[in-house]
Amino acid sequence: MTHSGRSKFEITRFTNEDENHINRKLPKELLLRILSYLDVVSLCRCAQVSKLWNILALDGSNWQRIDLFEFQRDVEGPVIENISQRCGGFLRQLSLRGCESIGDGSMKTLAQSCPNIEDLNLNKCKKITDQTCQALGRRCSKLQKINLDSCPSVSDISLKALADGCPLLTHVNVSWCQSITESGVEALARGCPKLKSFICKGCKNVNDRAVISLATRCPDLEVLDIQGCETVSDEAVSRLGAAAPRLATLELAQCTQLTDAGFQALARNCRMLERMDLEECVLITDATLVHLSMGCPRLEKLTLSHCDLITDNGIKQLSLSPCAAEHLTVLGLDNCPLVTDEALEHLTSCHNLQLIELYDCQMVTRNAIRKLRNHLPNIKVHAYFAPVTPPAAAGGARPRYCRCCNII
Amino acid sequence: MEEDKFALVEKIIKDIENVLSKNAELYAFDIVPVDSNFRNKTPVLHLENCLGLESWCVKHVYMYCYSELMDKYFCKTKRRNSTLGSIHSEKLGRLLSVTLLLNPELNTLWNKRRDMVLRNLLEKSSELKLTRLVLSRKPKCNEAFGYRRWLLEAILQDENLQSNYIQNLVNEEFHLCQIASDKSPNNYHSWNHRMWLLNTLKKITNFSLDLLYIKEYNFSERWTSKHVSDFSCFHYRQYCIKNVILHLNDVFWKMFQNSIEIDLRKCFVNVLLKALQNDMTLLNADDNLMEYSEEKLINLLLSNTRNCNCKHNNVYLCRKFEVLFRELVLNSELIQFYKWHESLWYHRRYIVHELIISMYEYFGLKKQNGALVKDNCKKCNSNDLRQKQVKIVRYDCNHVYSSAIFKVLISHERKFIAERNSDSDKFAERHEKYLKFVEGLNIVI
Repeated sequence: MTHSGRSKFEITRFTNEDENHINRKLPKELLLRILSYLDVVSLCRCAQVSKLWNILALDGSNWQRIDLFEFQRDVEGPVIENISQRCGGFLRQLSLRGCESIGDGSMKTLAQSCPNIEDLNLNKCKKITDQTCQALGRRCSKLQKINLDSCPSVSDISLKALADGCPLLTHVNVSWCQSITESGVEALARGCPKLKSFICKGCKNVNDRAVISLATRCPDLEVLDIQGCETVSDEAVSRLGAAAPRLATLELAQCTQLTDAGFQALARNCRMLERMDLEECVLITDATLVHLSMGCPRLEKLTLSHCDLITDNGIKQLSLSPCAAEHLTVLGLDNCPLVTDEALEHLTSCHNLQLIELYDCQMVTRNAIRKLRNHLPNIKVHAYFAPVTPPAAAGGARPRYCRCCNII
Repeated sequence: MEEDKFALVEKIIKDIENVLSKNAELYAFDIVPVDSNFRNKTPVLHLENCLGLESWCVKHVYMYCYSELMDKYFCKTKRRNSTLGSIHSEKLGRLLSVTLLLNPELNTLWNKRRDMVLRNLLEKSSELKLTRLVLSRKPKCNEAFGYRRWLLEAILQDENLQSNYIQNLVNEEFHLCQIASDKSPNNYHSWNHRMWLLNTLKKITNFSLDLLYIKEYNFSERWTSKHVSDFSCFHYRQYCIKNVILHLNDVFWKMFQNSIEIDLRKCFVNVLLKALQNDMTLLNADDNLMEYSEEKLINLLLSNTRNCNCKHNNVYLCRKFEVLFRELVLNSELIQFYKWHESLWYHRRYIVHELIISMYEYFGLKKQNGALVKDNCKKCNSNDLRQKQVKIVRYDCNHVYSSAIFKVLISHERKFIAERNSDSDKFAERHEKYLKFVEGLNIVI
């Protein structure tokens, strides 16, 4: 409470003079509790209502979670500095997604004043550099989640600083930070054994060694997204399989070097896999589907876009697997040219299937889709077939009632 | 079902965006008439730098895009409009591109794009590419031309542009105007755009326009010879002629003469000789008009009495006459070859009008309320108030009408009208009426 600028004496002075009902009926603790549920904009508006409300609304305890996404480019340095001053140690969660004008200076101030921060989202804050992460590493040891998506100046130095200073890190997102390499990732793995989610889309320099070190040192790993890391090979995937049994989400889009061998090893151990994205892994064949259907009973989302070698056989195996009947909800088969109507017939047994993507599967016809819809009425089929316009309602004129008949 | 339609349209939009962003050389967009689709194939076609969209999906795509835009991005919540960050802008940009490709006549959407360009969310070069695609399908879309003008103005305001960059821009602009004029006859907007471009270039400091004037003059000549009913192009040609006439200094004149294959002086002299055949008082038998200097020729054709003693630039006047008479001869040829095209006759009116005005100007007269009155000489501001108005007019009229050049013009026109009348060209009679009653020459024709 003492983080607010005014003293207790002032609060009592204002409550005694207040004639407003609400302030007399509710004790200030309750008012505070109510205000704690509000978002930033409403809090600022409340702070302009009266002097008492000003003290209560701007009290640090109401400012634990802040989301400035609505303001994006309007948010500049002084805003962050004011927030860090007002919130102090109360600030736990801050989202600066899209706030492109923020620079290192303000973030350093933030790191200094708000040492208890746990969740920081700096998505698209393009001006952020390694200095921010170094400051965070020095001061904010309680940091658990950090999102540095699309901050191109962030490099291995940041990861090392975070690894040194924030051992409690569970969620790290460094997508599109092209300077990240395996040394940064290894340092992170070493320093943060509790890591649950690691996302590095588009970081082309992340290779097998990085993935292997993550797998071996972070047994709690549940989410791994290495979309676009083209150098990753089967070696990494099999080691992943061996060492990370809790893996639930695995996104491997555009990792073109992967083949069936890696997935064979993966499916043997990772029983908890729920979401897999294998878009553009062009070398995989039906054998991978066989392995997955045998080894992953919980599979919910599977994307096989642009995997040219998948045929109806593989889909048949998938539909016979234990995951198909209950769990499989989303299946992406767009741009798989060998998929035909037969595959759709097999899929009628997947009772929970809600979404199937069939763009550019040239051998699929409207009839098959119609049959599938008959079996699974809730399914959404995404294909290039134009939706059929329903015929104009027959007998458009409604029978008219005269008013007296209607009332009587 | 609705969800499926949204997903389909979103995928089509994504496909279009893919093609637009990956191919910088796209130059044409069109809708391909395909009745309905039986195959699970994408409706976005991309062949040889042309983008196509099958017609069966146009209805769905357009309805979806338009309603999305109106509901989400053009509603009145102030908050959304003021914080258009980069995360929203990509989606907005995609929707706008697709909607504008399908229906480019919605100025609201173009204004939104202007807003985004001003906030640096869109690049001017990609905007130029989009308008190029739009114009390939709808060459008369003035909204697209207007947007291009806005972009070019913003680009050309930058002082540090290099002249070959400007040259490239200009060439591309002319090329685009040419394509648009080709696709649609009498395309006022594309010719207007061309004129606007030349006018804007005049304001740029480090860009020399002389070559461009000559090039455009020759271009318009070729075009009008091939498209004899394109009145918008004739309007443009008149603008080009005016540009040439306003810049008749020696350097320019030399360049101009070199670029034209015909000898202007010879053409002028031929007309003079043909018309003055019977009246040899002015000429001696062994005088070669080709050898005369410009001053001498003017003195011969227009007698030297003027109202004030300012030095009139006879050299420029002679050159002007050469250009205009050449135009007259060209026009005559075209009329004789392509019968019954009204635009050619109206162009002739312009030429004759210009010639007559120049002659009046030489004598310090101007047309006011249908009568010839004395004009204040702009240089020496002398104003002869001595005699009564009516007498002056009459006197000067005779003076003008009896000058050699005037007689040449009148006899030339008279002969031409007679010849065309014999060829049953009904416009000849109209031209005669024009000369008599609009130009006020009923005394002499």
